[in-house]
This record gives sequence, structure tokens and C-alpha cells, in this order.
Amino acid sequence: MKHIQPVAVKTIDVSERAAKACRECQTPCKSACKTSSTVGNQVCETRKKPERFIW
Amino acid sequence: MLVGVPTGSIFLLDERAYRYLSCILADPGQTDADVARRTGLSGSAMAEIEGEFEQLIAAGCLFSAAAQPEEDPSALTLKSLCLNVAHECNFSCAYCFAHGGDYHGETALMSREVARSAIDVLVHQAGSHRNLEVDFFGGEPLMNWDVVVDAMAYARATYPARNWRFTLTTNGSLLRDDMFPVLEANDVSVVLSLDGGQKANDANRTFSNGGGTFTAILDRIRRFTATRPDGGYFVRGTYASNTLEFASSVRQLHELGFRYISMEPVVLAADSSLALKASDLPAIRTQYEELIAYFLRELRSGQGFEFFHFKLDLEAGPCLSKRIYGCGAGAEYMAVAPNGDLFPCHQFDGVQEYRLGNVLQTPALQHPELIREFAHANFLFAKEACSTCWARFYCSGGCLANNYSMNGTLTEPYELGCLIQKERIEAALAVKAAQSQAEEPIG
Repeated sequence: MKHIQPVAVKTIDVSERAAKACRECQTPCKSACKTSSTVGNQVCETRKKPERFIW
Repeated sequence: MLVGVPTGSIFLLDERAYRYLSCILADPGQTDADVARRTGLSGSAMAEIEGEFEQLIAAGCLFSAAAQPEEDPSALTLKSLCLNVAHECNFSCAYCFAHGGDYHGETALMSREVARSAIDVLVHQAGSHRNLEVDFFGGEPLMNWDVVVDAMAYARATYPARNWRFTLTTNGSLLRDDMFPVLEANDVSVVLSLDGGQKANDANRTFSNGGGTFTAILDRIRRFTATRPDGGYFVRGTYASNTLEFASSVRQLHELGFRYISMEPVVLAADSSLALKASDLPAIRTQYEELIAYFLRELRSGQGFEFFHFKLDLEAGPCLSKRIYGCGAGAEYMAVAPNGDLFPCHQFDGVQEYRLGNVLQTPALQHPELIREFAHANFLFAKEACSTCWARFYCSGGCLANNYSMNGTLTEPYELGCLIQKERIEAALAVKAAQSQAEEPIG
């Protein structure tokens, strides 16, 4: 497209699988924030790359 | 930049498309002739832009129906604990929400018995959750290092089928080289508190005699982070009204050699001299703009670093269900005081009206009505102000403790916190947009 450039499309998983969330992902305040909710900075446990540390 | 909120679709508009859309949204009922006159666009240009928007609308990326799932009272079960192993700290930071570490009570250290019982309660309550999280916090948790070590060993030995995820938040002053292998062996992710260079750090992070802490901790923190070149730590700063130039503080942390950096706004009551004010917002925006420029410049030069709030994973971010249940405080996440008392989160430690129980008692959780209250408050759409906010699927309703401390209620968002949150989400999206438009990949 000439006037509108996509950065990312449909980044929120609204699939049936996501509706039955496993909730195995990190709790926001376990992250580096501690004083504000940062859910957008979390990653999906089933889709992220495996890592030894949580960040 | 245009965000399709329900789907998390993000687009960059050129100047003409921006002008066109702004005009249409200002008055959806106007004629094509009105739009042409107001925007100065030709008929063919308007048709071209309109066609592109129609493609995206047809693909479900823009102006799609907003998701508003029903609340599920059983969605959250306990899976994460913050063990405040020390209600005591050897620092006396000016902005400390924990009142210098004692949480407005007496200084105390958690016993092994309490820490082990807390882990038992966590496993008992967590049902089939595999990933269980324990954060060692305080005060200064390294003042009670032996209990930290014992708790990790107990959890792993007693419940080996669980995937234990440990984090530790420290001011760094008591870090010793002999601790590093223990932290490494237990895969402990470590948050190290440092506000920037010496001037920014020592403005608020002091010993009880008022002396700055920077020179006492820098070498210790550097020795530890040198063991983790590939991550597993964040150097985390706080900015307050007297240290508003946080872009400079982040740059200083980077120049000190740290690659994983976070910088958070202070949360203090409005009558505190260090509290952020609405009048600080223009300066905060300027700081984020400076930070974006520095962040991208360093990435392009091959000297990139990670900044926590710019870590938005647009390919593997949280699912919708995660995004509508906030931080989980009081239901999925709780804090344990040294005496075993359970509170909804570390910031609620000591708030007696929200004491949920005690890990040494049976049952440990004695107030299911409070847990229900928190589970409800976690639900994004329980907060009226959040239900139409464009940032709702990124902040997920904000921090309940901040809401409580600022407004006396769990469900009325802390307005200034929301405004700052939106600034930093915009900044993160701007970074993503810049990375997506680069001719060569950056970062």
C-alpha cells in the first residue's frame, strides 16, 4: 500500500486457544517493573522462544 | 501511527492518509466535497487512500468490533508469590513505598519455616499450574540470604515436578561473589536497583546518614552483571520529580556497561515533594522522545541494549485472556510478610484491611471474599475508565495498589499513572514502527 504501512497486524491472539488461557506466563510484577502493570511487555508462554531466565 | 485496538494491528500513515483520517473522524457525516476542501486532497488521492483503508477494514485489521469477553470468576488461581524475606533495609531511599523497608511496622526477617510454608501454600493453591514464581523482595532480601537459599532448595527438592522461576530484587549493596553461583544454579532473574549515574542515583538512593549509595554498589553490581552478558538481569531505576531527566539516566546506565535496563516512574502521594505531577507530563514526553532517539541510535551502531518498556513482543505477546485480567494481584499473585501474613501484592504488604490470611494457619487463605474482590478488580472491564481506553490491552487496567493508594479504591485508575503509561506505550510502539521501517533490520 502506498499511504498506509503495516508495522504489525493482528498481534493479539483471540483464538479459541487463547480464550482458554493456560496462564502459565509471567506475572507482570515478577518483571522489572514492580510498581506498574506491564502486561503488554509480557510474552506468551506457548509462543515465545524458550529461555533460561524469564527475561 | 494508527492502532486497531481490538486486534493489536499497528500501521504508519503518511501525511496525506493522516490528514484524511483525522478529517473523517472529526465529522463522519461530511460529504466528499467537504473532505476534499478541508484536507486539500484531490479526488483521486482520496479514492486511493479510502481504498487502502477499506482493504484493512475488510481484512479485519481496523475498526473491527471491540472484544469485551465475559468475566470469569475462576480465571485466576494463585501461581506467584512475593516473599518479603526482609522487612528491613540498609538503604533509606527518599521515595521508598515500603517506608525504608519496614512497611510501617517493625523490622523483621522471615524465618525458614515461614518461607517453606509459603511455598507449600503456593503449590497447594496452584492446582495444575506448572510454572510457579517466587520473588525474593524486601526491604533488602540479601539481608536474609540464608532463607533465600533454603527456600529455593526446599521448593526444588519438595516439588520437583514444578518449573520454579525465581526472581530477586536487590539494592546490590550486599551482593557477594560467592552468591553468584547460587543465583546462577537456580536460574534466578535479578533486578538490581540503580537510578542512573552518581548524581541521579544519589539524589534519592541514600544510606540512613544521607550519604549516596552509588560508589558503594556500582562495583558489586558490575561484577554480577558481568557474569550475565546474555541477560537474566535488569538494572532498574526510578525517576522522580527531582530526577526527571531519565533519558540521561538510562544513557548513563548504558555507558556504565549495563545492557538490560528499566526505568520506572515513582509512585507517591501528591503531597510528596518527589511525586510526579500532571505538569511534569510534557517533560516526561520529551524524555521518552530523547530515549527513543538514543535507543535507536545505539541499536544502529551495534551498541544496542534492552529497555524493558520497549520490549513489546508483537509476534508472541500475551493472549487476549491474559490482557483482560491485569496483574493478578490478590488472586493470582500475593505477597508474604515475614510473619507469614498474606497480602494481595508487595505494595499492599501491611494494609490490614486487605490481609488475606497467613501461611502458617490452616486454611492459609481466610478471606475468600477479599480474593473475589481482587479477582473482580483485576478484570479489565470492571474499571469503567479502562473499557474504552486505546491502551487497555497493553496495560490491562493498571496497578491496583496504585489505584488504592491514590484513590482509595481498587477500580478507579490512578489517572497520572495512566497518562504516563500511555506515553511509554506510545514510545514503545514508535520504536517498533521505526524498526519495521528500517531498510536494514535494527535490533
